[in-house]
Amino acid sequence: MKYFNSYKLFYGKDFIKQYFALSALNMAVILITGLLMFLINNEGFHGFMTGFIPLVCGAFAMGFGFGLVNSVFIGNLPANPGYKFFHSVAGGAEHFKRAILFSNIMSLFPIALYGAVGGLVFRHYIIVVMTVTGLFMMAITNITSHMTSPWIRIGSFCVIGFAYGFYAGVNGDEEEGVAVLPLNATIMICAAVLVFYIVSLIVVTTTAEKRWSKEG
Amino acid sequence: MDTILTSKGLTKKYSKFTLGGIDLELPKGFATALIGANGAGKTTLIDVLCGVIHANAGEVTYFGEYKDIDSAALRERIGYCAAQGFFPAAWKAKDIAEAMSVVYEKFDRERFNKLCQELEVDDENTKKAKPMYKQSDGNRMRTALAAVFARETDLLILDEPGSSLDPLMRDRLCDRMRGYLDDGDGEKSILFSTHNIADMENAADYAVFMDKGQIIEQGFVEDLKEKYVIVRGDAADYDNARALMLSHNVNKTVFEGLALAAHKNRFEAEGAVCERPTLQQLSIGMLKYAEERR
Amino acid sequence: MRILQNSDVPIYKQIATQFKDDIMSGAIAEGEYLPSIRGLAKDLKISVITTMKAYEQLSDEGLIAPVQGKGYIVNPQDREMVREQHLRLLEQHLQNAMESAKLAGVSREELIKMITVLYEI
Repeated sequence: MKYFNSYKLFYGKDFIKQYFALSALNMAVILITGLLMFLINNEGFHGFMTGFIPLVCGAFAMGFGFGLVNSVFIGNLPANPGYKFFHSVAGGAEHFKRAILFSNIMSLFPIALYGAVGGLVFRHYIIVVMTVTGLFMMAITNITSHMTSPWIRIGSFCVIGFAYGFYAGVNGDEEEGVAVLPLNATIMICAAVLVFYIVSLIVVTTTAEKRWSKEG
Repeated sequence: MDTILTSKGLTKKYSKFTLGGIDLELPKGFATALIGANGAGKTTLIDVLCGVIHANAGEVTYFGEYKDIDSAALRERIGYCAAQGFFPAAWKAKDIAEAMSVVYEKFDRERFNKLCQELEVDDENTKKAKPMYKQSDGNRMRTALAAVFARETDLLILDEPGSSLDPLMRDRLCDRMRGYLDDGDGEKSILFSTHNIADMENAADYAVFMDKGQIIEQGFVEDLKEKYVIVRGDAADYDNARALMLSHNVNKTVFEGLALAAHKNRFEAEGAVCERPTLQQLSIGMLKYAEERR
Repeated sequence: MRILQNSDVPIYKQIATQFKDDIMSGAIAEGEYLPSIRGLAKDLKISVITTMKAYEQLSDEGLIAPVQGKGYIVNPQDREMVREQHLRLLEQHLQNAMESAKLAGVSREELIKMITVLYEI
């Protein structure tokens, strides 16, 4: 509850409503398309859906994650309205820390769900790649906080995209336009990102108070 | 004099501006006006006092007992409101009420909604309430004031509360401030800043004048009005009077300026006239004096 | 209470004078409390320090006295002084009466007779 309240302090009132509305919408889209694919026996349609849905899921997984985390960090930017309010309340630094952890946890659910859906239902690695990218970006946000992170995020996204395309090119695997990584390489990448993410959480919890009282 | 807040050698350094050292003594049970030109350091001082930014040196004592602004008990007793952009841009009245109830034990939601209605801005129950960024500066300030007055506090620190309000609203704000002091019956105090004292003249009991990050004069308004006079005279007599004047305004017909009341007789012997200043006249004289002295 | 915000007379003096008149005329009796400093400031829309200064002046003149935690109480007024005040007032009114009498052509004896008649009613 303490954590929830801290997050509410930064996000405002509609947080829970918006969170579930967005999650529910995403889930509904996936379920309905899954159902449609099961019911409609059309090759072209199948082809379209297997390409389209993973992309949508992946984008959501990525966006959902750092969107939630970000909304906490922007409260610590002196140029933003709200800065003075947040910095004039009792235990602001504590709230900041708790809100970061809460937002991280809340964004893990959809990310994990998309990852699972992608991996198990659609068997499409692009979702795995995107969710891993989402996790990676949350880690970056945690470590750098909002100020510098957009550039790093965009940069990292480009590097990952490029590497993925490069790998596909080298392997000459152009089927459906997406390459499939070998399983052990995928697991290794996932593990590495997970470790990086956990490190970012440790970093953010130990530096949150210091970052809170640092001005401009 | 009982004090509510004292500071000693309070200093905040920036690359192009230094505040301090500020030695302040705010009287308990009164409204103190922080008067100064734009860039005099009023907001910096208020932000330091409210713990939004941290001083490089010096110390502040609140309510005679607290030294650390981060104390939760102390924050609960101070009602602070920034000049602009106090609440996040996307927030509506209900977000503000929600956040305020999270951090302040003595935030009265009903009172907040009632105050919003009185000040004619969106409250929690308004259908299609507008977020802060879609509202005018004046309405944003009204909402922020409603939020701060909905709390049970012992010291209000308001940064430029009147600047973005229309004259009628400013008058209501002054009424509310006097009502706050009356409710406290000597236990509640106010500190507010302004660069235009004219409209809030009758809400100020104690005045602190600032220039270039320094306090140049402070005291009870009635005492200051007896300490200084406004001198006016014929331009022909200016040369005799100028040495004793603090601020100087002269054209080919007349001269005018601020002077110490102690010199009143000498001015009158020179054929000039002296009058008791209003706080507005006093402020202009003071700030001009500071400007001439730089 | 009538206050002129833009008068040459400082507001605190206007307040002090009006309370003084009320105390002298007995409109505010001894032992009564004056309105609270902050309450009066609120009602008059003036700053607290202004009403405080008015009360301090009255207190210096011995008309009122501060009571810890309760505000300002009206002192028992010096009987002799109050009588003097009333005598002065009486003299002034008689002066007026005489002037009117002269204008209306009422003689001294007639005036005294009128007063005697009025006094016995």
